[in-house]
Amino acid sequence: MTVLERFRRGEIRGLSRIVSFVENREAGFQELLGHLYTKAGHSLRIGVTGPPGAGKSTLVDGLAAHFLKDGKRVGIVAVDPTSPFTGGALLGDRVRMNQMPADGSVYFRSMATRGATGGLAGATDNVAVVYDAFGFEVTLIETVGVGQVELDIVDSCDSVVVVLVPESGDAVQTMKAGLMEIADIFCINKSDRPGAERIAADLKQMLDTRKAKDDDWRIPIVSTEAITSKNVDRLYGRRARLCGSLSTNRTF
Amino acid sequence: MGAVLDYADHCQRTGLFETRRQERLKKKILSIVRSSFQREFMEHLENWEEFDQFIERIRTGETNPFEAADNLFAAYSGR
Repeated sequence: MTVLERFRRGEIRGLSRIVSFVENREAGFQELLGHLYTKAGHSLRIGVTGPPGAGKSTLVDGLAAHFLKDGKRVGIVAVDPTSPFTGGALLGDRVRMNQMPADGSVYFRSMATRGATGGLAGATDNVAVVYDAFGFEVTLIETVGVGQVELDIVDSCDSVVVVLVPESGDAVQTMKAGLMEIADIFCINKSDRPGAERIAADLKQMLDTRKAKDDDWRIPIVSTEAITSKNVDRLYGRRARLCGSLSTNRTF
Repeated sequence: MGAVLDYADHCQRTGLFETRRQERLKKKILSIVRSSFQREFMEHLENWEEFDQFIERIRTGETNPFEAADNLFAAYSGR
């Protein structure tokens, strides 16, 4: 059986090989992607970004668990453009994969620059297309929000969650222009720490004083403690909404 | 207050998903075109003898990198 046949049959091993093939831009990857594009277009892409140490991985895992509980299949891409010498992304892979069900309902892949020059945003988008064609209803893209490449990545999502922590106050001041442009939802994680209320208030003030990019959507600020799962359900959304409208929509 | 699902609901209701996906496809196509063009142009440049002549002319003060780039591109595109 060929790799593509395994992929079409929904085998994770086939998916894994195709993701590597596309990520490494092996000969013929464009033809393959071109074919997969015709099968894609149904997955909800959610970008999760924020400074290092904000707890994005834990939040992504928490969101994935909620989607899985609601019967959705989830693909996760974690983009770690850190030094290739730390090996952080690869180590993170192993730790996280151990905590996920092995029934094919969820798949995780981390992508690091590993010395490659450019193209990371494009590669992430390509992997998201592979997930979509595989049949994942939800794709979570996690990235460290510290540079243009990461902004480009989240720009290719349907919605963007910006994760901050109480200590991010100064970062908010320096990054607010970029953050305000990309955020559809703000999450203050580790909200049990001092300063959580203040950063939430600062954000609220910024949001109140700027012109909304979407008049019908007030960007929510959700306080969470991902490590204990506190309020992650609020970040996820109300179950009633899922049953009431989203489950009947063919695009999600 | 919900967030992720509420926003997905909002985007589907208002058609924002479609708008964003169309924008995304537009950027994707332009990115592919840009890459193809860049690759072709650079290959052309690497095999072009005049390129070295321009470098020499910049070194001697006859021209500058901006003018040289304009000339190289004009010669490539036939303008």
